[in-house]
Amino acid sequence: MRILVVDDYSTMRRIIRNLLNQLGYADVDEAEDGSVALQKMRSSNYNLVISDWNMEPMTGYELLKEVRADDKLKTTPFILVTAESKTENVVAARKAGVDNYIVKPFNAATLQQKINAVIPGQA
Amino acid sequence: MTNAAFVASDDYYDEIEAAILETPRGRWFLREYARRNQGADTDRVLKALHDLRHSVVSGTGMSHVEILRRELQEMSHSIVQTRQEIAAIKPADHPGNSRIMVATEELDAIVTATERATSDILTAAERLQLLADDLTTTGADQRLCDEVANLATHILMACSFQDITGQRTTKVVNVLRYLEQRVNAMIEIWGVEGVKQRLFPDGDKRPDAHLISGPPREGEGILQDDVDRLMSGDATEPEAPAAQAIPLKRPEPEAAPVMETESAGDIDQSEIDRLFA
Repeated sequence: MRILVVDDYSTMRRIIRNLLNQLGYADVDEAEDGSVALQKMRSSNYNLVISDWNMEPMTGYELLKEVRADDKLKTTPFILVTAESKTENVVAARKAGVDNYIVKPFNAATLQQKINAVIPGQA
Repeated sequence: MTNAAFVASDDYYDEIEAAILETPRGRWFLREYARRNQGADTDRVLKALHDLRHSVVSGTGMSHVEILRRELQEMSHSIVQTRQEIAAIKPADHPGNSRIMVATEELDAIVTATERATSDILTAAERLQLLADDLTTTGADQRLCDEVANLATHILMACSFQDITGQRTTKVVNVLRYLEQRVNAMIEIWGVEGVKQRLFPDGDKRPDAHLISGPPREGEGILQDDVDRLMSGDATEPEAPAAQAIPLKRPEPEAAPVMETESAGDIDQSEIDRLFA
């Protein structure tokens, strides 16, 4: 299973990659914003995207909408991991087609639980 | 003809005037009468003016004039004070060292420093994880190895604070940059260049306040080796560096940027889970 972690903070990418490795997901790639992630997704296949929201120039929310509008990518499972924890954020993300939503800070158990909910039987 | 029967009219007036004007004495009487009555009117006007002047001087009456004068004085004082306040925000002698700009740079430095420290902590935690794995393979107590690995994971997760605090700090930095733009606009409008700065009573009054500026920014200050050389007398005291304006990246945050923060209206993970159930 190949996972793309998208976050503008290298620290967070490193933490999520480490957690994923501990959870048994060894094939993890990284992107520092939505536009880089979109390029990577169009040139390579990923089974799951775990993305931050607040990034520049392209946010995770914009990435999500781009992915859902792309015929080749629209079925890719997408989890937002973000400090944006207002109701309107979650509602907007759901409408845009996010599969699950994790509020920062989070722990390994929460991450595993959300991955299982999005891709049952993995890990 | 009695007073009761008399009815005044213009005809009577003309008739009497004509009768008086017929003789020199009558004409003299009319001129003198007019002169004396004119003088009486002038005296009344002068007396009224005197009363008016007296009331202004004594503070009674004419309050509108006094209020207007005081308002103008207060406005003038406020304008001077505002110019001084703005000048204090952006000192004329060190244009690159405005208080807002200094605060912004300090916050940028905090973000950089915490990012570096977090990276070091992460490296140590990852090393602990590897050591726990190595110890397991060498036959060490599995329970202890697991505990070390778990604690290393806790350390990793705790490092996510850097993401949150970094975003909060970035939000403050953007607000400061926005304020700086507005202050610069005010400076242009008010033209405070050269205005004498007001002394702030809440300023640092410690005798050595001029020596205290906190940790230096990147590229400022000296290294420990330099300190050692200075302490041992192997180096001479460096000359004071010229004031240097450090250029800042200046994004144009006209509208308040959307930031990741906790605030009223936030919901927790369990509530989000119910939305996705």
